[in-house]
Amino acid sequence: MSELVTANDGSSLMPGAKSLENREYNLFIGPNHPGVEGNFALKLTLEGDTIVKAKTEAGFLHRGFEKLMEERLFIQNIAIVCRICVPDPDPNEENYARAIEALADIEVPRRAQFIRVLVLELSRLASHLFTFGGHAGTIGLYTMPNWSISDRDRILDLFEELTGGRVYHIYNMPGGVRRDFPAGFASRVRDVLDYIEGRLPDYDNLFFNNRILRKRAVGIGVLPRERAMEWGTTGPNLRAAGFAHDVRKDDSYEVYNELEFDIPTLKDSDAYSRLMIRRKEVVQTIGIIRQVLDKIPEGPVWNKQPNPLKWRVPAGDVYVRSESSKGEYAYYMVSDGGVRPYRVHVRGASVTHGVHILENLLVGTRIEDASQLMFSLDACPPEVDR
Amino acid sequence: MAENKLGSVLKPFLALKTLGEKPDTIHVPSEYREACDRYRGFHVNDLDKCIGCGTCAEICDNDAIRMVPVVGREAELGKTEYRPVIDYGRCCWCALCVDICTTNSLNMTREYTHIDEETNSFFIFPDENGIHNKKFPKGWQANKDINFLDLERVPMEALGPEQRDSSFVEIVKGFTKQQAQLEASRCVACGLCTAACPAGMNIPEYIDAIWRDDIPEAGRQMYKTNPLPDVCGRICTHNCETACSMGVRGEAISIRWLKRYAMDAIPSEEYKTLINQRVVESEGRSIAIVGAGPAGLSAAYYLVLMGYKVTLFESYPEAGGMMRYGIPEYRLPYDILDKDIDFIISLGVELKTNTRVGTDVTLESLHSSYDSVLIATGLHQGRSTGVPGTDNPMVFQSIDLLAKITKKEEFPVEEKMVVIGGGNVALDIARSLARKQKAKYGKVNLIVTSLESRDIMPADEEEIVEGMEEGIEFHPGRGPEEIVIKNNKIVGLKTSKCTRVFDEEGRFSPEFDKDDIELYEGVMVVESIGQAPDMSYLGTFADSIEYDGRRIKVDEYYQSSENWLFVIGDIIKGPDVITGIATGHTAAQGVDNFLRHIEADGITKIDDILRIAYSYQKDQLAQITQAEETASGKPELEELAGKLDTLKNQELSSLEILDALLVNPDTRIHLRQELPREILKDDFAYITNLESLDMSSGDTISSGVISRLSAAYALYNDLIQLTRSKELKFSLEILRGRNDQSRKVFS
Repeated sequence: MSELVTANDGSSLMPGAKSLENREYNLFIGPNHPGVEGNFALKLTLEGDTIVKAKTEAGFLHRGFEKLMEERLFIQNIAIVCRICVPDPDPNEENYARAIEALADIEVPRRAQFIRVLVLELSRLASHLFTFGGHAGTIGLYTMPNWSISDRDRILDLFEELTGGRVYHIYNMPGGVRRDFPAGFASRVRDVLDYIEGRLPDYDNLFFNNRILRKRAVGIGVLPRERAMEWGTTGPNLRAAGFAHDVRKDDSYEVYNELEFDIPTLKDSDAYSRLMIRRKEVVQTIGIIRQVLDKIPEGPVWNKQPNPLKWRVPAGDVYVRSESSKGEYAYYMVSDGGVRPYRVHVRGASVTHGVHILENLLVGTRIEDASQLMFSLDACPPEVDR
Repeated sequence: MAENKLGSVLKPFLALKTLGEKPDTIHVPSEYREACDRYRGFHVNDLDKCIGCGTCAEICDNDAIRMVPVVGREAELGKTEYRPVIDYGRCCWCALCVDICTTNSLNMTREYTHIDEETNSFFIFPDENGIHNKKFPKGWQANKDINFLDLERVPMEALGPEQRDSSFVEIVKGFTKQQAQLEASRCVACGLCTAACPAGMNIPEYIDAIWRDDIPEAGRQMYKTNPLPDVCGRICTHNCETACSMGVRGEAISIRWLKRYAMDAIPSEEYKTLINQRVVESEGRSIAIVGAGPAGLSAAYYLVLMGYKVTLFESYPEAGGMMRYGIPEYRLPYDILDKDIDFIISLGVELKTNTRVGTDVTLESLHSSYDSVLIATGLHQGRSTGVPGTDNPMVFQSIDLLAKITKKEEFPVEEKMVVIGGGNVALDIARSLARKQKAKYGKVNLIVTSLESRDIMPADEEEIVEGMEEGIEFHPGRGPEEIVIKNNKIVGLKTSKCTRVFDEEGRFSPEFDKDDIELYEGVMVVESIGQAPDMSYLGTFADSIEYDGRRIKVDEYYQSSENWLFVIGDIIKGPDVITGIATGHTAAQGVDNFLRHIEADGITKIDDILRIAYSYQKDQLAQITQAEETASGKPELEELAGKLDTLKNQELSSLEILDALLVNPDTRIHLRQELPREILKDDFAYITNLESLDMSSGDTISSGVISRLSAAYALYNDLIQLTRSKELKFSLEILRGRNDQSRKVFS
C-alpha cells in the first residue's frame, strides 16, 4: 500500500521519511474493498489514523439505467430495474410496476398485491441477512458472513421457486405478478421463516452480543439525531436515530395497511444501533410474511395488459415510493403517451446514505472503522450510479 | 438479548456446536443441485413448431436474440426460414421471449451451467435438446393464464341472417376507430403476412399506422403495392390472415377488416391529397391494357405513375371486371369499387368502356398504335359439367347470372333451384339467387351440391356458414350425373356419391359410387364449377406466341414471347383479386424494363443498372479481398493494405445500398419521382461505363483501379444522398440488420 500513500504536496511519504511537515496524507480505498456491496471508492485525507476529510467516488457501476429505460418498451424495463439494487431488487420492480399502474389506471388483483408484499419482505429479509454478514466481515468476524449468506440462500431458493430466478426476479409486472405460487410454496416459506427465526439466537450469540462487535461498533459513526432529517436520512438508518418513520405505515402501498406491524426504533444512532435495528426488522418482517400467508386470498395474479409491443401508457407523471431495506425508495416516471417512458428517475436511499451522510460521518472516524461505518449505512453502489 | 452491555466473550464459541453438521454448500462437480420447476435456464426451441416470426427477438431488451436463416428450412405460408439464435453474453434470463412466443415453441430449461474458454460457444442456436444436448427438463414455460399476446379478435359486427337474406346490402359493418386500434394493437409485426400476400403488401406498417391513428400513412403504405385497397379490404382471400402468427395459438389479426377501416376512413375526395401520389411527367410512350379488372387497373396505376400514357380497354359498360360483374354487391358495394377505380382513372388513365378487343378493335391495331400491350381479360367463360341435359335453356352459368345481376338484366328466378359447385363463385351465385328467391317467393329453396365433401369445400368457411344461415341447403360430396328433364322442363339434378376428388398425387381425378344416387329437385340448374378464358382476340398471334401448357408462356415479369405483349391477371395466375393486382404491379415493372431497354437515348433500365452495379460491386469486393491477402504480411504494402481495408468497408456498404434498392418494390417509382432526369441519366451512364472498364487486366491492384473504385463509391454516395426517402432508409436499416446477423453466424 505504500505507493498509494502520498503527502498532500505530492512528495512520497515512504516509511522512514523524516519530514513531518506534511501531517495530512491521502489514502484511496476501493473500488474493491469489504466495506460495500459493490464497487465504490473513497478518497480519504488522514491525519495519523484519523480521517479529516472524506470524498466518495461513485460511478464504477454506472450503466445508465435511467437513460436506458427511455430507449426501451415499458415491458422491457422490468428486466432492467431489478439491476439497480442487487441485494434488494424487488422494490425497484414493484415501484416501476406501480408507477405504470398509476399512470395507466391499472388495477392489481388482490392476490397479486399480497404476493408482492411477500416478495418485498422476503427481499428485505435477504438484504438484511446480507448486511449482517457484510458488517461482520468489515470487522474481521468471518463466521457470521458464512452463516447469514448461507441462510440468505434459503430465501433465494424460495425466490427461485416462485420467480424462476434467484437474484434477479423479474417477477413484478404492471398489472400484477408473472406467476402464481407453485404447489406447496406457502408451507415452504413458513419452513424457511421458522428456520431463520430459530437461527436468530445463534446470531445473537455469535455476533450481536459478541464483545468484539460491541467494542468496535458502539459509538461509531453517530448520525446526529438533529441532523438526521435535515440530511435526508430514511429507512432503518433514520429509525436507528429514533424516528418512527416507515413508508409502509406513513404512505401505505399494496396491502401493507391490512397487515399489523410495529415500527421498531433505537436511540443511539451509531453503527451498532443501525445494525440492531435491522436485527429487529428481521423479526418484524417474519411477522409480516406470516400474516401475508395467512391472509392471502385466492384469485388471479395478473390483470391482462395489452400486447407489450404496442402498449402505450397514458401521458402524465407520477411519483411512487416504498420502503426498501435501505430506506425510502421512489420512482418518478413521466410518460408522453408513447410506448416508452419519457423519463424515469430513481430515488434510492443510497445516494443520501452512501455519499452525503457517509462523507460527513467519516470525518473524525479512525481509518479501521471506515469500512464498518460504510456498511452500517447499508448503501448500494449500483443504486448510486443508476 | 442484550443482557450484558459489554457483550459476551464466550458465547460466540457456541458456534462450535455446528462443527459436526453437514454444510449447506455442495461439492461441484461431484454433486449437482437441481434447479426448480420454473427455473429460467438455457433456452430450448422446438424448431418445427417455431414459425420464425422473430417476436422473441423483438421483445428481447438486450438484443440477445437474433433471427438467422437456417440451412435446410424454407419459407412457407406462415413460416419463415429464420430461427432464433441466442447470445448468452447478452441474455439476462428475463424470459420475456418465452412469455411472448407466438407458438410456445421457445421455452427455458433447468440447465444452468456452461463453462468454456471459447467465447463463441456462448452464442447458441437452441433446439429441442438444449445447449449441451442433454435434454434437461423444461424450466420457465409459457403459462396459459398469463399470456402477453391478445389472442382473441375484436368481434366484427355484421347483419344477422334475417336482416340480410332478402337484400344486397353489405353484410359486414366494419370497425369503429376504437375497435380498429384495439385490433391493430394485437399485431406483433412479424411480417409473415407480407410474405404470404401475393402483392407483398406492407401489412405490419399499415397496421402500425392504424394503431397510431395515422390513416393517410396507412393508405400510402397500401398504395405502394396495391392500388385497390378498398376492394381488398372487403373481398381479399386474405392469405395474410392464414399466415398470421397470432393464428397459431389464437385468432389471426383481422387484417382485411383493418384495411377496410383505414380506407373507409379516407374520403374519396381527399384521396389525392392524402395518398399524395405524384405522377411524373409523361414520357410520351403509350401502353394499352386490355381488361379493366384488378390486374389491368393495377398495371395502369403503376405505369401511369412512372410516366406512361395508359389506355384501358373494357368490354363491359363499366370498369372493374370480376370485382363488379362477379362479386355480389352484399360483399363489395359498387360505390366502394368506384372509389378505388375513380382514383386510378383520376391520375390520368384513359378508360374506354364498351370496347371489346377482338371485335371493336383488334389486337393487331393495338400493337401497331401502342408501345406495349397488356392483356388482362380474365376468366369470363363458364365451364359446363357436360352431363346430359346441360343444353336445356334453364341451365345457366353462374358467371353469366352474376353479370346479369350487376347489369340489372332480367333472368328467371324459380321457386326451386340447384347450384353445382363448391367454390366461392358457387356460393356467390347461390347466395345471390337465395336473396332473389326470398324477395320473390318469401322463402329460400335452393340446393348447393359439390364434388368436394364439406371439409374440403374450396369456398371460405364463413361463406358456407352464412349461406346456411340464409337457408341454403348444402349437399357436399355429390357428383352430377344427369339433369332430369320431363316434357322439356327440368325436374331436378341426379347425383351420385363422390368417393374421392383427388388421387394420391393430388391430381383432380374424381371417382363415384354409382349405386348411391340422389335426385335434388329444381326447375333451374346453375353450373358453377369454374371459368375459362376467352382468348379468341389473340387472332394471328395465337399461333406465333409460345405456350406453357394451356397458358401463355411468360417470364418473371409476365412478358410473353411476343416481347411487346404482357399477360396478367386470372388468365396467367390465380384466380383471385390480390394475385391479379400483384401480376399487374410486376408487369408494370416489366413494361418499364422493356421500353427503357429499347430506348435509344442512353438511359437503360433501372433494374439492370442496379444489377450491373451490384455484380460490379461484388467483383470489386472479391478483387479487394484477394489483394488484401496478397498484401498481408508484407511491410512494404502496409499502406496499401490500410487503403484496401477502407475500400472494402465502402464496398460492403455500397452493396447493401444497392441490395436495398433492388428489393424495394417502390424503388422504380421513387427514383423517378426523386431524381432529376438529367442526373438519373448521367449517373447511371457513369456506372455502366465503369462496368465496361476492363478490371481483370493485371495481377496487382493499381492506383488507377483504386481511384476508379473511390469514384464509384462517391457515386453511390451521391445516389444515396439523392434518394433520401425515409422508406428507403428504413429498408436499408432492415437489410443492414439482416446482413449483420448472417455475417455473425456464418463468419
